[in-house]
Amino acid sequence: MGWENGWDDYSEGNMIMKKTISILLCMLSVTLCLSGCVKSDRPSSGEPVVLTMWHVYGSQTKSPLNTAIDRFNDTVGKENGVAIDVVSVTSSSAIDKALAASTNGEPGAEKLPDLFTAYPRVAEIVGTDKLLAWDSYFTKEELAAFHSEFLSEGYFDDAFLMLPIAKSTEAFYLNKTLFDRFSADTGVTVDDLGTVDGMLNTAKVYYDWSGGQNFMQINDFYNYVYVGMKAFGGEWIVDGRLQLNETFERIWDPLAEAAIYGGICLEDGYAASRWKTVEVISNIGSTADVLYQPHEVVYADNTAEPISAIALPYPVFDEDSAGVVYRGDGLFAIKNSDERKNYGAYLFAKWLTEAENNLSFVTEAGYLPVMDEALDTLFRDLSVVENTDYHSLYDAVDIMVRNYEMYALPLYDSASDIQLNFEKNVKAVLKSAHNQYLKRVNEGEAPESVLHDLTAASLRELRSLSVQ
Amino acid sequence: MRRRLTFYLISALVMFMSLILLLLNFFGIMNPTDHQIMDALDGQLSNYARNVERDYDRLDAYAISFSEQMETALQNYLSENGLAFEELENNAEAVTRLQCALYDTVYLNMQLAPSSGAFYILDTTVNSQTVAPHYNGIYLKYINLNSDSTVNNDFSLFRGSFIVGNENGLTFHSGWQNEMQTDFFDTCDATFADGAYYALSPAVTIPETWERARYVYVPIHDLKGDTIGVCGFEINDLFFQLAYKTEDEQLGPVVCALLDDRQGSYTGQFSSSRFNASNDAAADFRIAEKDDWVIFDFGTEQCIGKEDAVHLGGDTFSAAIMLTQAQYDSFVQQGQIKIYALLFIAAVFSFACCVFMSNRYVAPILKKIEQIKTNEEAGDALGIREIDDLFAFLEEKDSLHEEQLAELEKAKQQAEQEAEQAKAAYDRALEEYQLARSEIHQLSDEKKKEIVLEDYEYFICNLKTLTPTEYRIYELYLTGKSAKEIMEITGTKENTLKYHNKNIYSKLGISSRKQLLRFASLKQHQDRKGEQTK
Repeated sequence: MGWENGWDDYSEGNMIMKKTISILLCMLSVTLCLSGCVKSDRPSSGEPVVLTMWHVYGSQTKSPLNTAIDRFNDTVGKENGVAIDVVSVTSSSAIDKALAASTNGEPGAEKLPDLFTAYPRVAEIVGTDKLLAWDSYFTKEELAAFHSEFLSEGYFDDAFLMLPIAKSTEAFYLNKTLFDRFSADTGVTVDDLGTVDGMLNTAKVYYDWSGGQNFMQINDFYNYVYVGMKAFGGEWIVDGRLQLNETFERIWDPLAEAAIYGGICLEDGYAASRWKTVEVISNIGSTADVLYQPHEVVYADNTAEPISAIALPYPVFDEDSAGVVYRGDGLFAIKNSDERKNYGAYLFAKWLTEAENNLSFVTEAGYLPVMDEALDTLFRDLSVVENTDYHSLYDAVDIMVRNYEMYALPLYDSASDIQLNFEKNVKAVLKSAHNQYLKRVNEGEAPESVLHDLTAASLRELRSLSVQ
Repeated sequence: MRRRLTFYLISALVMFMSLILLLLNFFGIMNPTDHQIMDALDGQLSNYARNVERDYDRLDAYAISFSEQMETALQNYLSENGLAFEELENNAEAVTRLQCALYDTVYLNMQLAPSSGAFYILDTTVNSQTVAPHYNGIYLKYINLNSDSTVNNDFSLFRGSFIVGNENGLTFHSGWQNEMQTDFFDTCDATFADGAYYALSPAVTIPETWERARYVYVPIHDLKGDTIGVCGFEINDLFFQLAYKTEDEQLGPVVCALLDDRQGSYTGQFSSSRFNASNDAAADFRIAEKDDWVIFDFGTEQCIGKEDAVHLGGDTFSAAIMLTQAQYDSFVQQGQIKIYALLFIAAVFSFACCVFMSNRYVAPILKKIEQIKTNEEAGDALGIREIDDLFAFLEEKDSLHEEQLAELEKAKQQAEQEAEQAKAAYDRALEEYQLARSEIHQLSDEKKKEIVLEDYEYFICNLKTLTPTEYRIYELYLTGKSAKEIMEITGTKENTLKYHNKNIYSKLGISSRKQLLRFASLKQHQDRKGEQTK
């Protein structure tokens, strides 16, 4: 080995030792990188991440978002090592409760999911510091592609925490099959349903025609009043308080009269189930309710009758100021210590909101897409809505988008509680008034006089309940 | 030294072993990660299968109790209203009132049992004229499930009279119908004929929904023991997911499944929504065995795992635990990379140790030896005790040898000096000898001249006439001994000696000792000359 020659100088041995150590360190670094001790921030097909999700986009009959998620998992998700696992398809109020329970660590509460859809109010429930800021991942160009009005709801202070993935508005649904029979006998037409006054009058006529059946249900009285106040130039909410003022009275009186007379369903629960049993033949509700629209009605003798349903634009309070609310929850992600999950959430959100994917998902669920490009595509050519049952709905939405003022419901402290209380009070007051009306008319009092009294009394009672 | 050498050898051995293990792992001959995954999944499968059997047995107990309560409530209603069961058919009012009476029982049992819904179905209908047979009953389903704990969950009326729904303030399922279509009654008698306590249906799509579910059901009997209905509980895909979602410490989320074998193709329920069918068409998949694994082929994706038979409700199902192929490959790859890294580090470290040992211990030894060979200055100690001791010993020995050498050198010089001195003395002695000889020769020649030849010849001839004692005395005189000395040597007295002397003189024809010595010296000279010429 030539030791005799090679080691004459002891410092040469030291140099070789140093070289050996350097090579060792280089190999060690390479090895550690390969061994994954230095982990990547990005998921990969070799190291996939699974994100749990709760969402509301689905009925018991179908879930368009589940279908979209399956498509993501099989394509982009698979390529990038991201899988979305839907753990719950439920309602927004149920999600609120579950999130609150999880955040507070209540016994039996489920672990917070990685992703969930909810209204902006949940940001306070969960805590904004726990939520992922989408603008840390979406570039400015990507955010600019969204419909700008839809983005504003997602900001909490300066953090962009709620990503819009679908928006809904409201429409008037009608069981056309049964309405045609009613129309043939009474002369009331679909055109009469274009205004609030016409709609409420139709309810009373139907009540008489059907021998005491309700014509319609209003799913959200709160939204109904908000649109009416806007139409008459008033403000529904000032400093977090509902304004039951003179402008409100203009909205309340015709509504109360119709409800007290009969013809408006004042029960809790969704209208879709009442459609099934012919308890109502119309309702005002979210465009997303189209998913729940039955295609047949079932009678007590178990016979079923297929029906045809249509959607009409939201009735106007004033023909010169047509308006409708738009709403919709958004997508939240819990900020995870594993950056791969955060990035996986972004990948999924980006895929879901891309024009083509978003359009495909929302038009199966009665929603509006959130990108300008997708909105243009939808209203340029309604044939992109594959489900022909939904065509009348999107026709109605098209009319509203072009001609109506679209209002975002304001977010303020305790908005959710105030809204729920208002709904409860309205139904309780009007139900009680209706029962009193029937009783007093049966006792021989003049219907119009009773109606007038009870209408005024109901307003007083509503105001007193709202103060409490 | 021994320890260091041992360490050196161990390092080399570790390096070679590491390289061999690396090669074995690279060619897949050794794959410890695969075994680890298998062990983990075996453990999970064992737990899961046990839990499934326990859970369905428990649900069966609830179903049996439900059935008993239903039988009692039904009989009470019939007897209170004076009706026979057969009289319920086409009697909407009676059936509706029956439902109102039975609703609380259904509701209570749904709250108690761990399930996603509860139902009863009776072999009767409000309208026997419908094209497809319908059966009357109540079917309640939870609306919002986000955990397997269903206490206080909202629920909906999926099947049942709308009057019952309205009276109890129920939400109607969007797929609500008044009555249900089912094939339970087609197979009921056969199902329970062999004494099964309960029946567990395969996973089927719930009509008019995107959900799939299994049903645990038991018969409802009349007083005669005939089957007049069934009741039970629903386990839908979502509830199954929530109840059996599993996370392994090592492997992370694993998918549990309860599978139905449909003559070679499989379907079932999974603890991950990714595998539960979300469309109306049931997603069949195939199972194959590979080595000790079971491969679940879903078409677009494969999973790898383990499965085992479980006996539920008189039928055999398959409990399975699986990972996606991508998960499995990722674990194996991570495991292998870690093993590679470990073995590689071990090999490199061992190599570095060997290099270090060579550099630190062997090279200086060689250098030291070289120094010794070339006789350079000793330099610093090596730090290896044994070697340093050896070198110190050698140096000491070397010093001793040098000292000895120096002494020998000195002795040599001294000897040389002495030799020179001795040579000089010898030369001097030789010179004196030569001189003495020369003098003797001279003297001999002179004396020879002085010696009468006849007297000398008479002397020589008569030497042999001397007696031994006379001859001995004659020789002693030649050696220069005195009379006294001769008397001591021979032990004779003076008179004896005088007598011998007289004889010697007489025989040899001499008159004095001087003449004796002269004749003897001459004779010696002649004798020597004679030896030289020989």
